Amino acid sequence: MFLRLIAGRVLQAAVTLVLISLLLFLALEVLPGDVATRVLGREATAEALEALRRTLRLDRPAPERYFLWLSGVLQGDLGTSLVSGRPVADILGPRVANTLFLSAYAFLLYLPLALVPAVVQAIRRGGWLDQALSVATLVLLAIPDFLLATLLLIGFAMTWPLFPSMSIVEPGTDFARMLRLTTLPALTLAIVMAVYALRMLRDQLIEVLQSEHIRAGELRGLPPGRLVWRHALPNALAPALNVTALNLAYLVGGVVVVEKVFSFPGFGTLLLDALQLRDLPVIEATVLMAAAIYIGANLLADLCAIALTPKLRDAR
Amino acid sequence: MESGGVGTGPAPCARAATPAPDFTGGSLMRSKMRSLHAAATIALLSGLPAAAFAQDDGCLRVLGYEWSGEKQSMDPAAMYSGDDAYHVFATYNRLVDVDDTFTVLPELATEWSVSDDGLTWTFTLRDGVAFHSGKPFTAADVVHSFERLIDPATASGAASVLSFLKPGSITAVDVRTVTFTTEAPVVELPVLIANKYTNIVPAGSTAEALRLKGDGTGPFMQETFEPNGPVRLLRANPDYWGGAPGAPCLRITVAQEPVAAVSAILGGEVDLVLNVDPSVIPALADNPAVTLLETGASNSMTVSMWVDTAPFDNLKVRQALKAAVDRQALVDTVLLGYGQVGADNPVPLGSPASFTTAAPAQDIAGAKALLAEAGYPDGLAFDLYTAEGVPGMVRLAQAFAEQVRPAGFDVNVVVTPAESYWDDVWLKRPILTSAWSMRPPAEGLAYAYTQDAQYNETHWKRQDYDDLLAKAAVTTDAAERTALYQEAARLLAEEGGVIIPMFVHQVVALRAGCTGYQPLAQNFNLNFETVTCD
Repeated sequence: MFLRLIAGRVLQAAVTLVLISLLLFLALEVLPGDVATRVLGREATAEALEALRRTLRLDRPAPERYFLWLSGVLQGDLGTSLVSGRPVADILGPRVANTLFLSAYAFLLYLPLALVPAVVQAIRRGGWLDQALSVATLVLLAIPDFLLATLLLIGFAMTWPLFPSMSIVEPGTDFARMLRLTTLPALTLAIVMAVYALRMLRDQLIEVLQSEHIRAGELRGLPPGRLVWRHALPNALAPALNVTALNLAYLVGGVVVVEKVFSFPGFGTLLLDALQLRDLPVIEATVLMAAAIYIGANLLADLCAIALTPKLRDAR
Repeated sequence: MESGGVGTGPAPCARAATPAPDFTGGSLMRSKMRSLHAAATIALLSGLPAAAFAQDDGCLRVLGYEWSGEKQSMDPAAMYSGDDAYHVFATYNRLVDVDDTFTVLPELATEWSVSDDGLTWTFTLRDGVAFHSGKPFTAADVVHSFERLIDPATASGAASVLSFLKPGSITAVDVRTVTFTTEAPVVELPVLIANKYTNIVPAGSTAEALRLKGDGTGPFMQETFEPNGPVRLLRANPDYWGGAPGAPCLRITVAQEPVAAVSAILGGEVDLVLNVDPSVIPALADNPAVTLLETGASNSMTVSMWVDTAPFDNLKVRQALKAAVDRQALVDTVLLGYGQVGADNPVPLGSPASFTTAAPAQDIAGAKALLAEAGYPDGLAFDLYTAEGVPGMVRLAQAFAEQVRPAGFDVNVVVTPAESYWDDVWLKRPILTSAWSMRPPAEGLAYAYTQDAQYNETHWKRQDYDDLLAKAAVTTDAAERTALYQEAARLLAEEGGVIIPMFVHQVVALRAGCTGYQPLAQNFNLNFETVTCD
């Protein structure tokens, strides 16, 4: 049952990905400028542009180019950059590794940033701490990510120079230095994600805490901390998981903005550069990967919700 | 300027100022963020104390602003973006150099002369120079370098600039002597061969090899370079013919965010910021941790209109617009004072080829009268297209619109996306803002204004104007030639379709404790070897 569900969703995802790749291809077709003009610039002679287009087979009809690319991808070949001729996999690999590190770090920071205040607020609901945290959350919600990144940069790279201004990761950077380099971008992403989840989690917790079985536990004399962590939280987590899935989806887009502010050599800055150069195979590969992560995160959240929620679990 | 390019050197049809649209380096998102960033920066950064960050290896740490990603190359012939200039100009040398007044200076050539018929230029090469690989530098290297630039297979942007050179016209007379032979006199040949592509590579080197591994005669030698790589590292060349560089090594990184650049230099993480975005200059000005250095006239910023399209086909309308502009106010507001006024032609005031010593003053009454004479006594309304394709361009359009309003012009500023401006709007609207990098007078007057100019953004097509430039191109007497340039510049300023109210001065930030950097108006021409840091 579970397996059939997964298989169905995976098939759905595959079809979605192909459609995305087609839409992206069409969008790039109608965008002004092509890779030849982007690479050679305005000084290029018409002959040079023509020659480059021929070399890159840009003179071939669009459907032919798309299916050529698609058949390569289906055989596991992501193609080569139109700009440098390097294999897309080689270009993407280190960038994805960097971004995965950043995202994992951001996610680890996100969990306590969302959980701890939510629990504190739920226990102390209506108190001054609850209200102060609510106001802080609302303020942070109103700040766009690139501004938050800039504010953190000004605060923790300039005023108190705890971290470097630029997260320029070089090959061979050790773990400790990597952590230092990525703390500010990771913190930016974590805060943006946490403020969304925090509000939801707080409200859910309060609702669960007022439910009958918690009340019963209270009457039996269970300590409030145990009640919250062992009994209320698991029930409140299921809806919060959906927010977390949405947050993962945000992460995929958020890294693009945040990586740029911190000059981080990741997947987001790679996508921006590739778009600038109209480097189709690189753009397709990065976007498809982002889409796959997005779809995967949603699928995972659904499955977790099923596993965590007794009602849904029993329904199977 | 900021997203801007290395412009383009003396390339005739090179778009420049910055963007060559092609490499605006993600300016779309940045332009959206810029105002917020600027506000945050100015409010929060000014006057903050500089914090010390540990210096590791004694390298000169250069922070660039333009990023070309996968396009990066060590091949001088493929130097399509300002990003490449950082490592290319550190690695290689050209035959000759030019300063901000376009005076030609010796580099790998020590002297040069032209034959009496003006058809053969002879360059004597510097003795005792070697490539980083150890190979001695000879005339054969010069011949190879120029032949590959004009070879269509190389697809170098240099080909159009060097169109006067033909295969076989560059000759190694002996090991130390090279001649360039042309079919007609090219009196400006030394300036023309000092463009951004003409760094000398070893004889026999191929595009495939040069892309990843540069071998030059320059002050720094490639150590780590990878297209799209996060850091470029170069070692000092101890045997550099110009004397060993002041720093043992060179570390080049790029920050695409102006705020990050400010933070990095104030935090002592970098020594030299190659271009300070105007939006963050206030955060660095008057800060003792940083020295701001300013170039002379660099890019020009323009309002360009089609002289063959109503209402701008009416000379009096064009003259009324030119009279209504307050140039100094534009320099002060749009460029925060880091610039100079212009006189509606690409030759900056103060250059020998400038026809005037002062820019026109604002004359609203005169402008009104001209507009009435043109047949618009009740005023004239039009759309002015712009985009933040070059930093400050939108502000230029907005300030311009307000300045000419009292004269009876109702200007509606249409702000378009920066990312597609050079593809979709530029050359396609009858009046818009534009920007061009600094070029020598001969080229500056020709590249956008002759009848056959590829990017004639004002549709200015005048035989008398072209004749003046054609005559100048074969006039060997320097004074006579300058007079011809002046005459052409005057014609363009008085009757042409371009308003050039100002030239940008580029601003470079040097960390306190470092000395010896001289920024040049042609911003690809970088000289890191003169910098020393304590």
